[in-house]
Amino acid sequence: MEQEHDVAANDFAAWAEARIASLLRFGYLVTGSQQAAEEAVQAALVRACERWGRISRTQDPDQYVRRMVVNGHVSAWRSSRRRESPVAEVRGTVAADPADTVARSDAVWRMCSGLPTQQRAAVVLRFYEDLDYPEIAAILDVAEPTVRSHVHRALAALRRELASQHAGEEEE
Amino acid sequence: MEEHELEELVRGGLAERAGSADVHALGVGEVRRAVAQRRRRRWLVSAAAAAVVAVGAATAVVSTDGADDPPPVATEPTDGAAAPGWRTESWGGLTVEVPADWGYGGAPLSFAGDTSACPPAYVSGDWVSGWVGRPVLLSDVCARYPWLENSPQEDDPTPYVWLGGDVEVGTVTWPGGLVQETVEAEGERLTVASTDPDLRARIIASARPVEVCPASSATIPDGSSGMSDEGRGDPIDAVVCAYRLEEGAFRLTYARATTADVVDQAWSAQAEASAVGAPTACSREVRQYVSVQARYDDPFGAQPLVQRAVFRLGCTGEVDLGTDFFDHPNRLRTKLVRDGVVPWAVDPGIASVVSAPTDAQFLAGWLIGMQG
Repeated sequence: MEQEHDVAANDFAAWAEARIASLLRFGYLVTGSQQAAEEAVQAALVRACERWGRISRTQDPDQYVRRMVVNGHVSAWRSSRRRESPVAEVRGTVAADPADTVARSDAVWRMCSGLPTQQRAAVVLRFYEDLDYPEIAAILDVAEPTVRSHVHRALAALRRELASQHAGEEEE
Repeated sequence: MEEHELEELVRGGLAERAGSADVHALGVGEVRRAVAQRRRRRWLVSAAAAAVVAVGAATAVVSTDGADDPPPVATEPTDGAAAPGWRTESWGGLTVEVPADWGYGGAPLSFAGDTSACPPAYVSGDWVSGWVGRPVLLSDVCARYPWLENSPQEDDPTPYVWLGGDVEVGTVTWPGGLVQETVEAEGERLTVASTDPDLRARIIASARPVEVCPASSATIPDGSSGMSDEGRGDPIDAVVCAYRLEEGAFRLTYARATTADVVDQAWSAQAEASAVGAPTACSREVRQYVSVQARYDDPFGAQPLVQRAVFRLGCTGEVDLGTDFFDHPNRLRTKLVRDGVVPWAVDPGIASVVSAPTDAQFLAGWLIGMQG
């Protein structure tokens, strides 16, 4: 029994070691802040570790942990009792760097920052993790059309953001 | 810009932003330490719980996760109003008490063969220490119920109370440690879920018949100005009562004591709104109504004076004010306006149970907005 426990623990450690960096990047995009990402990823990994035996047998651990990170109810987020808003910080960088690519990249992040958590997660899963719609629907526990709607609306918001940015540049 | 160009832009922007995350900030060692801490804490809580049971300390409170659980329970509820730190919540003929700082969500609701529930994260994204749900559709992206295996809901230890939810009577223990008890009380289904057995018992024991509003109504009441030649005496009481049409009758969905000032503000704001025209099919189709009412002493009469604004909500919004005693000898019915709603909709519970009419989406946020 003790031996089985050790094997499971080592198995989890190996899996987590290989995934933590990408999970932190994913968490950073979904939560919008380094601290929230660390808290969300740690909370998800703690849960995964505690249930590793069952998860590794019956689930896709990557999907399980992503779902936990996405959900706004992970305990780390609750304990912070606040919502990070990186918008102000990003806006400051737009004026500081006039390069078009940087401005467009900032427009993407500004658009993401303004999205509700679940919608932002759908965008990140679609365009950062390159998952297809059924996979995203399974992670977010929503219907596939809802995911498509989230992504479509996000792209529409980005189009508006870029148009607004373009108009602002012309005025200057 | 073409769609695929936008998509590429998003890919590039996210990849660039992801690169600024500090990926060395967390290691497997921290995760293992956190797991060990949780195990120790659980062990200590279990030991404490066993000790409490052994000495029969009925009022002790055992918390499993510190900040996740509500404040200590009061030992005896008061009659009528809730005990300090608690508030009442009503549905149909049932009233229960819940911790005053709990938020709102949606209880399991069966629709088109599926049952779903809306934890607050799905509705507002807000953190809550606990929540109260009624079987009202709050969003089109709620969670399936029973919670899916390994879903976040299954693990979430946040306590909740469901009033009238589509839930079987009985007890369910979720993997996250939450124990969910469902009972019949005052003809309604009452579900209480918490890791704390004392909290569950305290809430279930608080179940009683609804007190401040009628449990149901066959018809929509008329509004009234509550004025007399001699004026009004002192206020006696004031209430906000919301109802939904279900199977031919209006069922109470929300009840809350308020102040006469709130009622007067709402009534007066609606009295200044433009009058509605002739009834239409749309205005006749009232699926919910909210009665905002204050009673006053009548210094020269035997019966209290009643000022009541009745918000008739369907595909359109109209407010029946009765007769304005001074200016309008005829019945006064006006179009729903924001200033008529805001005085009583400041309680966030309203936004979890009363839907804005289709033509009054300016009230979304105060009332449930359009979905889809």
